[in-house]
Amino acid sequence: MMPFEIIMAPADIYLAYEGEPFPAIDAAPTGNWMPLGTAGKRNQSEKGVIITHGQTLKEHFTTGSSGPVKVVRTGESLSISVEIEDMTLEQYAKALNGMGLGSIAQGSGVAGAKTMPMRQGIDVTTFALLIRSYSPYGDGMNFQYQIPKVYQSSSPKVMFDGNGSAATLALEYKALEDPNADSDSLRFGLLIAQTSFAQ
Amino acid sequence: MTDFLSALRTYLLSQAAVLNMFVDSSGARTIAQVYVLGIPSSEDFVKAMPQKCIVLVPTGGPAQQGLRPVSNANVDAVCYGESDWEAARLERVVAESLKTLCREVVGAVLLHGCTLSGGPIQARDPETLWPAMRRQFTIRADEREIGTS
Repeated sequence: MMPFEIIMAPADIYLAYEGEPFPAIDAAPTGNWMPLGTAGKRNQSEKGVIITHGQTLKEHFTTGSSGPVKVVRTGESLSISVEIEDMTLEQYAKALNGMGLGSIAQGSGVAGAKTMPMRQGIDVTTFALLIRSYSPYGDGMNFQYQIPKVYQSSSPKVMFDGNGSAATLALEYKALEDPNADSDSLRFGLLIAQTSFAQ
Repeated sequence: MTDFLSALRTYLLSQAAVLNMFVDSSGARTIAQVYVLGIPSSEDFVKAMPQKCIVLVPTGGPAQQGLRPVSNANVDAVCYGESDWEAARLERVVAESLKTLCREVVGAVLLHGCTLSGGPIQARDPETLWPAMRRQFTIRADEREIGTS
């Protein structure tokens, strides 16, 4: 295992619409799995990918004790944050509810263009989300978060300036419980670390 | 501690973009010359200078706190060329190769990654005036040899 347990490397994020099967741990994400950032991790800001396992705990105290005697988990959450430096409309749409794109055809006196409506409406689109990094168990193997149901929860502020900053989409995807999961413990998905190669 | 300088040399020698920089006047590929610590002192090598070659030189690094077994060491990549222009061409390729280094196993050494300084400096050898470009980078290398920990 050592020294691979220390991971000092970035991760790629892929999105697909909810219900998309996850790729095998040793297979490249293809088909409907689209990288977040046209060039993947090369379009991420240096903050990288942040995965937060949130929880709310309630400690119980009794009259006869000064310390807690029991604790219960009253809530939990899973969120993924990343900043994408990629203003292509295909990526911008992932920040705005997965909006469909339109186009203006090139013609005589008309420049070709892509368009994206900006009003997101009432319904919130849910996605499946995949994070890929390096296995903590060996060389050439993968580490994979597969989260079956997320929504984009941030309110991105896009800034264009002349000070050397890149225009950025700050995204946060929050997990929803997947009612179709095989068990309660899988409702936020599964974390997989590859340990060997297929025979 | 691992010999990350030699691992970096091997890594650069595995990069097609670096190898493609070493060609003769007919365009045929020649032996890629990447060295650690200094250039060879042999008479034949010195006579052939200035020519393209890369020298990886350790240049210290920040103090390290804690027990994490990862070196954060500064290294200078000195890129020589037949002219300043050729040295700069070679330096750009070396910088790109180092920038994209990510979790590479080289022999028994795990190289986690590199962080480059913003740009190179022109660094003609003060004695020989051989054209050279020099850029510092920080290498993050695991201090434990693979298979022995």
